[in-house]
Amino acid sequence: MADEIAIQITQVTKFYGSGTDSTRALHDISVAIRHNEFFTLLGPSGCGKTTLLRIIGGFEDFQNGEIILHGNSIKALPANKRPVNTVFQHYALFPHMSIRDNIGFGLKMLGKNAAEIRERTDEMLDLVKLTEYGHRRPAQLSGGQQQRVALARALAPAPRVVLLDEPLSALDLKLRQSMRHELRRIRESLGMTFIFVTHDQEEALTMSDRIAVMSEGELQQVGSPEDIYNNPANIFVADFIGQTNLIPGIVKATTADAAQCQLAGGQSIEVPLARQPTPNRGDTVKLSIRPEHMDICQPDSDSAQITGVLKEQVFLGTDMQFLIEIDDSILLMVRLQSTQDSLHRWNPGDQVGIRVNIGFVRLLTS
Amino acid sequence: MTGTSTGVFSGLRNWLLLPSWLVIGVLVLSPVFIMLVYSFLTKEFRGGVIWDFTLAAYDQFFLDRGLFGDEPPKMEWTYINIFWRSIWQALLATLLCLLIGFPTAYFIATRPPSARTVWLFMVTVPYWVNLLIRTVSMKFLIRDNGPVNEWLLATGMISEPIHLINTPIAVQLGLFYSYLPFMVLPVYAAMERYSFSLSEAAADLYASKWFTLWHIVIPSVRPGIIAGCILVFIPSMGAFLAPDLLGGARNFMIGSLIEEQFKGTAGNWPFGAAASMILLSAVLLVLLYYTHYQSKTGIAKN
Ligand SMILES: Nc1ncnc2c1ncn2[C@@H]1O[C@H](COP(=O)(O)OP(=O)(O)O)[C@@H](O)[C@H]1O
Ligand SMILES: [Mg+2]
Repeated sequence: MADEIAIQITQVTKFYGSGTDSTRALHDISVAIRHNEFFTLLGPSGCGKTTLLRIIGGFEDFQNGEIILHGNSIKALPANKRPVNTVFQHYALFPHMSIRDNIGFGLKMLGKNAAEIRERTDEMLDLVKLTEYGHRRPAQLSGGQQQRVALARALAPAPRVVLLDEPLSALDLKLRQSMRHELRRIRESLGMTFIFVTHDQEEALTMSDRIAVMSEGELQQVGSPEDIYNNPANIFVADFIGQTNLIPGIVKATTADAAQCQLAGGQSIEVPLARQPTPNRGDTVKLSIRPEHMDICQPDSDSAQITGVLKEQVFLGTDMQFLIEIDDSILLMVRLQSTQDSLHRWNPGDQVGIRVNIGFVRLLTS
Repeated sequence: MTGTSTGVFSGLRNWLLLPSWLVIGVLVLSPVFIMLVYSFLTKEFRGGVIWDFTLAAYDQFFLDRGLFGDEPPKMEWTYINIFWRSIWQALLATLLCLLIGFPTAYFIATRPPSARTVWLFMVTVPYWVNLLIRTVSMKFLIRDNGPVNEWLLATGMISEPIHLINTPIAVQLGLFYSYLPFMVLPVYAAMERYSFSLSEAAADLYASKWFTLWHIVIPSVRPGIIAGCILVFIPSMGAFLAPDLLGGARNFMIGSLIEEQFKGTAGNWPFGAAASMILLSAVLLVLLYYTHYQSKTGIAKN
């Protein structure tokens, strides 16, 4: 049951417009979303997240591909026949109806009787903690409350899949953070498949079971938050998720479990290959090293793998950030926790050594 | 509104409003007042009035006292019938404009923004031509040997020409054609502000297209529909070109009746003024009902 596939998307391609002025919004998207999963589509604005969501919801046709919902193709079903409900980006609550009528709308359309609708609506109002607001109109609620009504309205008919298009983006930071927990709590208590769209990587990392990273209409990588963060499949993912240093280098030699890489400035570093594919000798690569995977030491100590000149240090609260220039050309960002007592041993202009947590270095070729 | 009504601004605001008040006073209120006074005066035979106050004009409209005015008063039906015909012709024209104008506005509002301008432009193009000329053209189009009938005969759809001229249907066609944009434009304006993601949300929640139209779209654009209905109904009530040119004598409407009273030397100014006042009262009643209804639904909303 746990591994049952809720939605299987196969080779979906979508163009807007036709002829010469058509834009490609999606290219050859294939992904399987599991039952009861919190699945996130993550990518910069314009990468096609909304388009993919609208295709699943039935609001947009597409040129190629297939969509299977729990074993049945829904490609030919119009939106009002799909057992899928959407939380729209700007909520799209019906302004002339009360909150209760908004939430009960889907049930009414499904032909449920009045008693059943009342009971389920009460349940939903309770779930989103708006019990006292049932008789108000949407315009009389705050943004956060409207957002919860939109969620309750989508959940009320107990759809197999719930689609959420950047539902938190219109809320202020505090509210956004508390709604993240709310959303997770609600999904876990109901056991539904959520497909969640966001351009906010922090949101994606903290909420999701799995994330699909998209760019320019193509899927870049699908995996758990840890997987995506620690093993980015390519330069785009490494750069988009979290912060990283991308240092150009060349693979000089490879052994069964390590690669000898020469950085652009001439220094060399050995990278273990236990959790990544083996590159070819002579490949030009980008070494992805996250700022928190490095430490600063004496330049002549045995543990210094790279040396450079400290250019700048910035206090960030919990962290201290150092900019270190190596070989007069490359700037490396290193981040240490503010609690470390070694922090104030260095001054700008000092020659320093860098100790790299080498197991986390990734060699990326594309 | 708030804050500006205090201190120096209140004086300034009154001065700025002065031109509007002048225009309303001189061009709207005083003609109505003149009409009101004239409707209580005595008619002069070659047009014009004699300054003798009397209720004769209203008496003539509502009561029948025989040919020489010496019989006991009975209800006079002639003018009430004309008035009644005006009401249902105007109502029918409003309904027809709504039936055609609403889908038109919906169609335009769902085009891409650049195309909307073109469609709106096309809706208004015929109205650059004078109403009289358009009404006469309509007469030529639909007469017994006009292009419409000839085309229908040629295609074999009919074997006899359809007689339209001097029928209530011709008047209806004329009214509909004259005032259609007054329906399309306000409904379109409301529709343009309507967020079509509401229709998507309804479809997402299993609503059919018709249910969405009735219960989501129409309630959202209702103010535009009401405005359109008023803008079509009121001028249709008082129209005289379409009934005159397309309807003939048997399809007189109140507008033609009033027009007759002021034309040439055969008229009766006080009677025309009285008929105008009666028409004005009827229209005011409709508007009062509308504002009452608006404020009631407005209160329910807040
Ligand atoms: N209705 C449309 N017509 C034409 N192009 C569109 C339309 N909607 C989206 N696009 C284009 O498709 C691409 C993907 O858009 P979208 O799915 O909205 O991205 P996202 O939700 O990731 O920001 C963008 O380049 C956008 O300009
Ligand atoms: Mg989007």
